[in-house]
Amino acid sequence: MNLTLATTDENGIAVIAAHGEIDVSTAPQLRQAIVEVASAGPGPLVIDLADVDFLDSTGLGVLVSGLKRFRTMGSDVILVVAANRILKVFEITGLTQVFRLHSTREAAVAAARA
Amino acid sequence: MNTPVELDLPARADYVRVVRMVVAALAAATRDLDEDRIDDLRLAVSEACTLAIGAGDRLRVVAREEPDALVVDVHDRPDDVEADELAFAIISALVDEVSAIDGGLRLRVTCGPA
Repeated sequence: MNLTLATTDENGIAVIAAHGEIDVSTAPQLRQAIVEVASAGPGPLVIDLADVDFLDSTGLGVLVSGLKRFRTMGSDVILVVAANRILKVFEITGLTQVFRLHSTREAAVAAARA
Repeated sequence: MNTPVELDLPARADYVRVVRMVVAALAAATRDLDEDRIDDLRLAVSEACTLAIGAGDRLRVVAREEPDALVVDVHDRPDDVEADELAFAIISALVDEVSAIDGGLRLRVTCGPA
């Protein structure tokens, strides 16, 4: 098990929960999951990275392209980031300024609904 | 690891994970590095490997110990390493020194023996 993804609906908000490692090998799975949610409707989308223990630039690239896709539709992608090691990757790359980040899924879903 | 450890694998996306696991395990076993710095090394090596598999048919990694550092060479590298801005930003932020060597990238992490 390198990466497992589960897409659910939380009272009208699509949530992709990722578990495992997102890298050059597994990022295409995440891209596919985002595309499937985007084609089902304009969102918004919550991506829960709380159970992700590795995220690299390939994964960030997929998240950024997903964000662009949703913002083009007038919507948004909101992330759940809990672990410091994952937050650090966003900080290094300046992407904390680009994404709306929350530390819990509840907070992210609430922000998506607002 | 007083003699260098060499890995030579087909340049496949799913082997990037293998390399970062091996290098992180070696670093933990042989050097005085805390968990955060091993995480940093794991990600930096992974980014260098991702660049490498786009640049050649083999993924070759040599890790060796110096008295005050752990040095990891990753081959091949793309002609323009900085073209992948996210990857290069991450590598540069996470290791003490990154340099281009003949056909590869050299990552250097300052640390003492374990």
